[in-house]
Amino acid sequence: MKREVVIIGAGPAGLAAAIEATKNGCQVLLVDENRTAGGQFFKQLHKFFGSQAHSAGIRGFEIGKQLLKETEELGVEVWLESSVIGIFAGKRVAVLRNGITETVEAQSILICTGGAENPLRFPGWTYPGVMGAGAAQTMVNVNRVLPGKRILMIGSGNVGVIVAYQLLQAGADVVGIVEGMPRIGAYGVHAAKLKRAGVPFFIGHTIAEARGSDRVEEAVIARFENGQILKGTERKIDVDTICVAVGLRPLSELAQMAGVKHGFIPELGGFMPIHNTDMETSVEGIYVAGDTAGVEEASTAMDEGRLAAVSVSCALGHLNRADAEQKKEEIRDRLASLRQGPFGERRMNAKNRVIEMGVTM
Amino acid sequence: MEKQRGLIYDGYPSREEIVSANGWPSEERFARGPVAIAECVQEIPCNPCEAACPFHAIKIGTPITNTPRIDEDSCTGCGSCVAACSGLAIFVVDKTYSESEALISFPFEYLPLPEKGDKAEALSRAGEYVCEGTVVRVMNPKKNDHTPVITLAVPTDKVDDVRTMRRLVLPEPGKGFENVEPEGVLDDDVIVCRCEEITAGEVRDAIRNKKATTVTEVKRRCRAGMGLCQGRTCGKLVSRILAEELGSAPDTLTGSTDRPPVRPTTFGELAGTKKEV
Amino acid sequence: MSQIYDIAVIGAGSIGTSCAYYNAKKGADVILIDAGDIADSTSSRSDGNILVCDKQPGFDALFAKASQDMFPGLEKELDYNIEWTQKGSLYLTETEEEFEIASRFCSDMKQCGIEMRMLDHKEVLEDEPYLAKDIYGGLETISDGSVYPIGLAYAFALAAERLGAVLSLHNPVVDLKKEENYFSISCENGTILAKNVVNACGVRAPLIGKMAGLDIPIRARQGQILVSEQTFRVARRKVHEFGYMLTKFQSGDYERPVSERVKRNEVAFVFEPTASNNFLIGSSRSFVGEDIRSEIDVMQALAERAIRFFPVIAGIKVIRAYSGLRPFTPDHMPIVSGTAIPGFYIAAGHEGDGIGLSPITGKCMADIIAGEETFMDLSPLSFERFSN
Repeated sequence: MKREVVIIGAGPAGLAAAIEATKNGCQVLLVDENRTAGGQFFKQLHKFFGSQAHSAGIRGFEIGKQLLKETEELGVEVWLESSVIGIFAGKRVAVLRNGITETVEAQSILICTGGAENPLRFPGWTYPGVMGAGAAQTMVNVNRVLPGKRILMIGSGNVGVIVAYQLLQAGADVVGIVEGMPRIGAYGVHAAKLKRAGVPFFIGHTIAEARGSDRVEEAVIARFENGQILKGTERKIDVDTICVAVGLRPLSELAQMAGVKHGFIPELGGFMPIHNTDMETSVEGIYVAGDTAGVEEASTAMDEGRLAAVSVSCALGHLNRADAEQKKEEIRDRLASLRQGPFGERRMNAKNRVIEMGVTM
Repeated sequence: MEKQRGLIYDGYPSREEIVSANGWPSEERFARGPVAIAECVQEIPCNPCEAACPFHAIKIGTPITNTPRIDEDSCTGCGSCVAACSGLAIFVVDKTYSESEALISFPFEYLPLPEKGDKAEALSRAGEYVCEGTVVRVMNPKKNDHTPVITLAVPTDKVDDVRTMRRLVLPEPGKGFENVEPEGVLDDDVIVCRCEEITAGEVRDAIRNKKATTVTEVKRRCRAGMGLCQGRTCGKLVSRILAEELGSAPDTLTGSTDRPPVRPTTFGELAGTKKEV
Repeated sequence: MSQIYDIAVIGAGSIGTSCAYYNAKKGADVILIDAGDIADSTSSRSDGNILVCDKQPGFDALFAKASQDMFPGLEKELDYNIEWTQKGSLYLTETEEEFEIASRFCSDMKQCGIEMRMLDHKEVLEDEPYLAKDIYGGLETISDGSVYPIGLAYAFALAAERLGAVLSLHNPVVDLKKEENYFSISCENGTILAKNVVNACGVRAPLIGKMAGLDIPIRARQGQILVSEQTFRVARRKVHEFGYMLTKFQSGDYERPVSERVKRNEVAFVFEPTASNNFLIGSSRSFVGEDIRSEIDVMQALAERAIRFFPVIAGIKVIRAYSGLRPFTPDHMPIVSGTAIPGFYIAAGHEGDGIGLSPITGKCMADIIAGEETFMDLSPLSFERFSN
């Protein structure tokens, strides 16, 4: 089987890319292992930030619905419950679907498989009741199941704080947010929502232990300085759930398997595929976008998906160079606007390093 | 150690931070009636409030990371911006409500909602009890998209402190924090690879005594990362231990080689034949 | 002037580590050099079979048997858990014709002193109850066993180190020169001097050979493997199809009744249970240079062939696929010998048998370098045999 473009992952980046590439005249196959497309969108009940061009002010799942509707209207070929198990020589994508393995030969591949939650090792981290914050978010927002009644959140970044807020809304008690750094990591407005609701922040603290007989019953937290637990500062609290939100890393196994060069960019999640300003990797015809191309946000993911799609469309001859360059510049300008301010600048600088590494590699 | 104050330490902005980033209405303006106050002090890429104001009183401009400034003369205190703010960081204060009371309107996304006339516990930015308030309005039109806006009447001298109300249904309280002695679990006994049940001690042994220098070399020596998940969970934990043990920079420690299938696939699915029942 | 080692072994796979160990055991000053880690290449990508059943009657079988006989004592001698088990192995024959070929092979091997016996249809199904019901018969080899191949190389390397050998890992050799009384080996981390060199570089032995001016006829013959999840005991020991012999030696007129996919990838069914309750499924053969990427068509053929013999495998998960490079020689026999260059030795070219043949190879290499007599005449393994 052959397709011009295979897009792996139908989250924010993949959906936006599929729409853009199809509009430009590419023959697209969009593959996702979940039962519904949309990726992280359907876990995001909060209103998005950004500008109007990024659907700011609209709740994440509503943006997802709009994009899904658009893919349907455009007639994009979408394979759901289909897992890509590998990318093989000659840009062949092996897809596990309906109980058999099908191989699709692509001219261009766009990998938007997103990110994965980082684990944290502490005594008791393997108890039932310790889970990633993203997993808790799926339970509460997608499956409508409360993961626990008394929850301690480890990590005060945007993920930890947003998930803590949604757990509160669902009726759980968030007993505290523990942060190893000496400051809160999330956008202040997210933190302020929790603070108003009476949730305490423990900055400069870490989780020392999870205790229980066969599942989490207590969490022990302690002061944390210079990478060490300060002895004698341990305090315990009764909880049934500990959520870990200590960052995401790019999920790039498929890119690695395809021979894409990687670099280490801590601000974007660690090892990640190196790409150029068109989102193309070191392997010609293989592109990355979204969290796979460095962990950022849904708004940047959508625009990176569109940027990759424009590049692919041009490379396959569906867009002339001048039109493509104009479109790319518009998208790059929007991306630049999202990467400003004290939070965005770090990512902007990191992204620039990715591009530089691509040039020197 | 002196405690540092401010949004990134306390979780809520100080009055100084608000005044400097967003400004604060003048007393004359308060005297004229309801007025919006933005409490959005960080430069984040977000501007829906700008478009939400029918009177163009909110200014962000370019870049969109600018903090919002509200022109007190154009602002009518209509409250359109309160529910439009993705960060729930805009409030409307009306100090002209009555002789002794002022109104504070705030976004409130917790069910159940209060009803007009209810008494409520008014809370500060820090979530602490300030005073009792009375619910005078509950606005939840469709255009708010599930961000109800509650208006409380509180004593005028408290209105600058009140920013929300206590949720009406609270989870059962727990025992709370108590000091405790650590159990002294040795880190060497903590599991690193869940699939193969490999401990931190076994990973260290592979590094210290068996010359492992990379995630792959650790895997070959002690099986950490050889299980069902193929190191997707423990890979990062192993590289952290390697960095500690070898003193190497994290960027020199590549992960283990990713191999197909990246999702466990049955032999039957791979062979392309239907699974036998 | 820096130290001159007695022996520099280049290559820290199962063969090189064994050569280092047995030479150090004789009291030689040994340095073991590798471009990467211990067992970095073929030895970490192979199965752990210690077989005589897949050897040709005669020298090949006797040499393999001598190596196999060393394994029971190795765990203790090396003080390392190499996961040695000795449960025998089972060949499966699909057709009557295959059964006949296997029977002749069985009697030839028995004449060499290899303990084997034929199993008929009923016996073979009793032996492995999950087998497909139409398997014609089998051939059992009593003495076959298996180890954890990577562990074996660590065991040899660490034991050699305890005997005084120096391990110089992550130190690629870039050039090699013969001086009057010693070799000067330029490595990335400096120059190493040694009176003798053992080229134990497997598929990369030709590169080292070239530095010494020798043309070593070893080619990389790729093989792919699928690894299962931890699961129940599908089969209690090593099971493979007799057709494996036919693909390995590319001989005979017999055509197996297999699909196009199995045929084009030279896939022959091999099942190996591991100590950690996974199993490995092989095998494939192809000449594709040094490419060790997995190939979906081969993976599919491997799975298809495994299910043909054990239908129950269809529902078990594959967690990993990988491939490695067998050091292939034109006559399927390794090179374990000296060369025209005094002091330059080769221990390489074991194709798919490097793990099983490693103890005897290391031991013979130590005897050869020490000028002692080997346990049998090793002329079939001489480098000279390729000089014409």
